Amino acid sequence: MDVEVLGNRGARFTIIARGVDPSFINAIRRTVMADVAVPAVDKVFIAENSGVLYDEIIAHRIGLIPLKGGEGLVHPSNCECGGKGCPRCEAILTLEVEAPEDAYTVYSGRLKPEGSVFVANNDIPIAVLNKGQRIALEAHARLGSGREHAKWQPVSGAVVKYEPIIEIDTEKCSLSAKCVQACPKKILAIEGNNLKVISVWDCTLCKECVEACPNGAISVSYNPANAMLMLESEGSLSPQELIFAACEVLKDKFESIRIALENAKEAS
Amino acid sequence: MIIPVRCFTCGKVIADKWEAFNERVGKGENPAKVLDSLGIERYCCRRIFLSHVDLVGESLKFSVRDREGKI
Repeated sequence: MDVEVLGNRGARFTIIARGVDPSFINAIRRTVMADVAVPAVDKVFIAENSGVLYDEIIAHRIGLIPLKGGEGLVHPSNCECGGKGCPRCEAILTLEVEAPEDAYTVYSGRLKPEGSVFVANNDIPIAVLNKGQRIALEAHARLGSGREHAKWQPVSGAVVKYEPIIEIDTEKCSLSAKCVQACPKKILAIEGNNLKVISVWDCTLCKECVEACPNGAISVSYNPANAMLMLESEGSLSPQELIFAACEVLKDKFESIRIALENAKEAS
Repeated sequence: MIIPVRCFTCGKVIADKWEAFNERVGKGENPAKVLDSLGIERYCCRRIFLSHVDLVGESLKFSVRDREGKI
């Protein structure tokens, strides 16, 4: 396998894996979405809320805020407390705010970490309060996976795609530029006397260019031996860390198959 | 009511970009260009911005200010 980093723009990370089946890369993608454990707020104890938004709305909004950290936390299903919640498997954040003015927006940055878990994005509005209104609450974050609830899903975009192949027959091509206009991703261009593909990985295999070409000079196909993986992290872990974590999860799953097979009894 | 924290479909955090979007569109900028510059690319996220009506300011007018119940 040969991996090339195509783009690392902020939270978005794109790699190309050559010489590997897309189903293998897809296993990593699905594991990142569903099985990588990241922290999120799961319980909110509201002491005071005199604002217009109901307690449930505020609790829901706090749950959806991406959190980072929590390296020392144990997954509640493996915890001594049996999943009830204890300092080993939960980290606390508190929010205590009284609005100094009307239409005062409370942002996620006001959530004060009391343990090993921190807010990954400080600019999310949690509530809007009028002067004198108060919110006081304690939020308990725990590790979880996207399989349980979308708030634990560490990525928003997660895409696997084959390598597109765009073949241009230079003898048939009349440089009419009809395909250049037809392409919704604008990946074709005429440079001098040649039709060029600018960025082949942006191709969505829609075949608009094939239909637009009057001479049948262009053909679009794909190569399933090379695959692209794009991950867009929400801030809990960096995309690279997510891939490493997904590999660890997959390794543990395969290990459990090995152990189960060793202990398997022969059917009588 | 208040802008959703995440996109309903893909889960991208969008609430942090609402204020910038609202302000710039209010000044007369093209919403499509504002969304592009804020990095909102997928149409699942874009529709939330375009269709959202921020009513939280309206309900604030009818809220009680303090524990004594004074408005």
